[in-house]
Amino acid sequence: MSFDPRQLADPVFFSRLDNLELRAQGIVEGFMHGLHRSPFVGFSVEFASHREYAQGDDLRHVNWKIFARQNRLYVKQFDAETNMNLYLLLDVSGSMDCRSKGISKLEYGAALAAALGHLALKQHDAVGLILLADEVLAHLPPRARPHQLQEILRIIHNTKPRQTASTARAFQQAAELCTHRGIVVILSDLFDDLDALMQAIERLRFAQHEVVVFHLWDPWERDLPLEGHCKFHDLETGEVLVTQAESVRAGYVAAVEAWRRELETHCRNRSVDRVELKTDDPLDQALLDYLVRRAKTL
Amino acid sequence: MSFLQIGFLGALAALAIPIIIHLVFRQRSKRVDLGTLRFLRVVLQQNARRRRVMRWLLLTLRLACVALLAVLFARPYWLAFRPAGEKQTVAILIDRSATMDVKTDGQRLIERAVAAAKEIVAASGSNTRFEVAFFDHAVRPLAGSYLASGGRESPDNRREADASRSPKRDLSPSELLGKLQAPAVCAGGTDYGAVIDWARDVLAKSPAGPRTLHIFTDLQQSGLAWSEVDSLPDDVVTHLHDLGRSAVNNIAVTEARPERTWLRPQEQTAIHVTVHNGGIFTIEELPIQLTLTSGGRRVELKEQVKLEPGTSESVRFDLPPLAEGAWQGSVAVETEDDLALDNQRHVAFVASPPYQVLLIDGRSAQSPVLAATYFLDTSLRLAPAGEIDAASLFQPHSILLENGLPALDKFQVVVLADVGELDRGDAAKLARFVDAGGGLLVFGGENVTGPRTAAIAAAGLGVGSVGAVANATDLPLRLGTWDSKHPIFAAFSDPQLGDLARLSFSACTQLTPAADAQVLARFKDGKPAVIERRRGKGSIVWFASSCDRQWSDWTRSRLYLPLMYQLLGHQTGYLAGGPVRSAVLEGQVELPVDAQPGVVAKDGFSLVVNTSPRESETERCTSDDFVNRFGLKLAAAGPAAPAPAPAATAKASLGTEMIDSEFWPWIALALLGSLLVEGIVANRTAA
Repeated sequence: MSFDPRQLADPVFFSRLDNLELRAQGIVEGFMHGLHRSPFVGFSVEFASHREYAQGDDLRHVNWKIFARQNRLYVKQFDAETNMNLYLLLDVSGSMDCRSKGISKLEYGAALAAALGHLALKQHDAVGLILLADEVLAHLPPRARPHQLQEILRIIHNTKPRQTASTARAFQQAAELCTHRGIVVILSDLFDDLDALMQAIERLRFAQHEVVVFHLWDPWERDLPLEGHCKFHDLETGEVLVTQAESVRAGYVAAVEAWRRELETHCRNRSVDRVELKTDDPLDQALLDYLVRRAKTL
Repeated sequence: MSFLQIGFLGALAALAIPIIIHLVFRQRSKRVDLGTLRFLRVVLQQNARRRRVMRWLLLTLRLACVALLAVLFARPYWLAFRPAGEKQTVAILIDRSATMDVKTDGQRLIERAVAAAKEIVAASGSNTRFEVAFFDHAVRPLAGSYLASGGRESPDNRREADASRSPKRDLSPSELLGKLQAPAVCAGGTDYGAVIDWARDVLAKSPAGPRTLHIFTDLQQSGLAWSEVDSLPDDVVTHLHDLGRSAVNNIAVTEARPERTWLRPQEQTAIHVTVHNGGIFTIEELPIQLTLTSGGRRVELKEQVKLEPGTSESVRFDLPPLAEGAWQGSVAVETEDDLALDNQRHVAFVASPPYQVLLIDGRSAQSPVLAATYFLDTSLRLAPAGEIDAASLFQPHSILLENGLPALDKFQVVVLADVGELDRGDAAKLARFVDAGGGLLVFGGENVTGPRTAAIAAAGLGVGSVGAVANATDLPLRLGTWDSKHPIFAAFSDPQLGDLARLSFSACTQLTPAADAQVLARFKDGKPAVIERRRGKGSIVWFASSCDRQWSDWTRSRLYLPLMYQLLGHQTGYLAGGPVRSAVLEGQVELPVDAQPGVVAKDGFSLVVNTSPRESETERCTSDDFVNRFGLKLAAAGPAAPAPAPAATAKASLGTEMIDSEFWPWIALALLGSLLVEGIVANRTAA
């Protein structure tokens, strides 16, 4: 890929994210303490509840005041805050190479992935990356080490768009690779069979992952703002269609809109956040908007 | 179906243009990469069939547009329905010029011509179509009047000519015989060219079949040279009926020309008279009598001349001082000859003071020299104060606005010089004056502003809205353009005669012309300088600058006096011909077709109508001269040519007029409809 996503690790861009917190919506597992609530009720800072003492419990957590009043032994439980696993699933299929405004969807998605990875690593969360097309092309397990971002960017840089018949199988494989609960961020145009795609997402949800879909569009793909006689090429299949753009625009937009509604319905039914982004949307602003929205929902 | 302009069918080759466009547009497309074509595929599957149909429809519409355009220019027409056999067309032209009043065997030539024409109509078969017209200097089809191309049409002529061009049904022989009557008086000149042109047109547009032309005339030689004509279609067989007499004894007054038609009361003038002997005998003492009347007054003068055969003599009648009034009468020779109509010619005079011009000064000045009307008054009098030059056409009467308007009955023109606040009653009086035919000339000035001229505008004496005074800045205002065809400015069409652009003004009144007003001149910056508006029978002219030295030094210019005379000459009607105008019944004349010799009172002037002096020349041409002049094919020259194919018929016509059976308006309508539908379909069709 000629585009180097490492140049997107722009300090100015990332400095605008420093004041925001990326919070997981649910409880995620983790080994490291952080800002995210652990699914394991443990002994940490924030009190959660009481339970009866059992043999082997640390006597430091016994609530002696209750014992004094009721003559029964209870131990205090605390929510342990820990880090999360952020899985970045970047679609590198041929359709992601569509570019009408100078930047392709893949480049746009790569930039988003870099931004999210950087943000998560600053919170000491583990970030992993999966590149997928018709199968998983690259897999970097989640790590919270300092050089993880550079590794992510290097992998993306070495990847080229690849003509793909279907990405459904790749999503299934990726779901298998997301072993620990966390946030799964899908960066894709989702131009595939929706049912197959939703099966993969259901699998992620079944594994209790928080799934966020960054649905990427090229402006031409969504609104077809073209005039005159056009020869349309399908970047996935190489198929060619010739027609008068303005005469099919209304029908095209209606078909896209119907598909978007169907996709939105599927996502809502599965509690999946879907964020639509066009490649001419400001990259940082789009990300900030999303994070602000997420922060409000927590 | 046949075509008048079959050559235009060659334009059908342009059908290739939409085909080329169709093919070119199908090939040219730009590449667009999309992530998926799934949505496009859905749309295209939905309307693929509809799109295919629409594209064929679009191609068909474009082809139809081009084809209709080509056919439109070819001017197709339907041939008349023929029940059986071929329809014969017979055109009959009957000379009704003044010389057809000559009698032979006690019967006028025109009556003999009509009788012969009736015989032709009566003897015709049921399958014959007639085109009949009388002619002199104009062509008069039985259904109306038609003036030959090249001639100037009066409004009356034009109306009748339009009527004759409108679709009309063919007359039955009995109807035709009923309408075919000899006119009571023949007075017009002879113009063979006009009627041959008319015959060429009607025969070219006639249905296919034998075509015959009958001409009843006295072969007067003076009628040959009026106009050039195109030859008749090749298959037209001509029958020339020569009704003229070999020798005509004609004594004529060919000229009666007053030295001046507008005199001052008690002024003397003379009339120059020319008489001609067209007979073969010498007349020793031909009495010539001049008779003039005005009201109850009468002047009669007599002279005698000796006239040799074929010669002309001139006589001068010195008139006594004539009292004020409109004088009219005639000069007549007392003789018995074959053609009585040209034995007299009508004359008219007006003995009256100059045009009376009322100058209203809107500015009270301490000195007469500073008055707004001072220079105008002086230029009209052409003489020191209190006097008037005998040659001046105008007699000015200057008054101050504050003294109120006098009775306007005796004035022909009223001039408002720097007049602002006019009394409403005076404004209404001025409006009635203009309605009755008077002329109003308004000059600008400091007083002429919108608010101050409200009463003038309310009375309908404005030519639009009046704005504020516009002062020139670094450069003076100069006239930039003017209508050199308008009578006021026609005299200045050649800069050698006076360049109006040299006049300069330091300010002007801003005028915005009304919709019914005509801007006759503009300053170089585009502001209107002279505007005219018609009202009732009169005219209103506004000049945007002053007529004195308030805003300009043009009163010292040598253009001042000519321009003022042109302005006032236009407003009085002098530029249009003065109080007495004359016309002759021949070729290009703006007269009603039924005009007769005499003196006719018109609005503001008298019109003297006389017969054409050419009609007094009774020399005849030979049949060969006539036939060769117009390229006719006489019936005696050989059997009639077979009727050509309709296409050949169409080719023979130059087709400058619409004929009854043409249907190009419908094709034009279809073309417009096709273009409209094409536009709609093209906008809704994917290529």
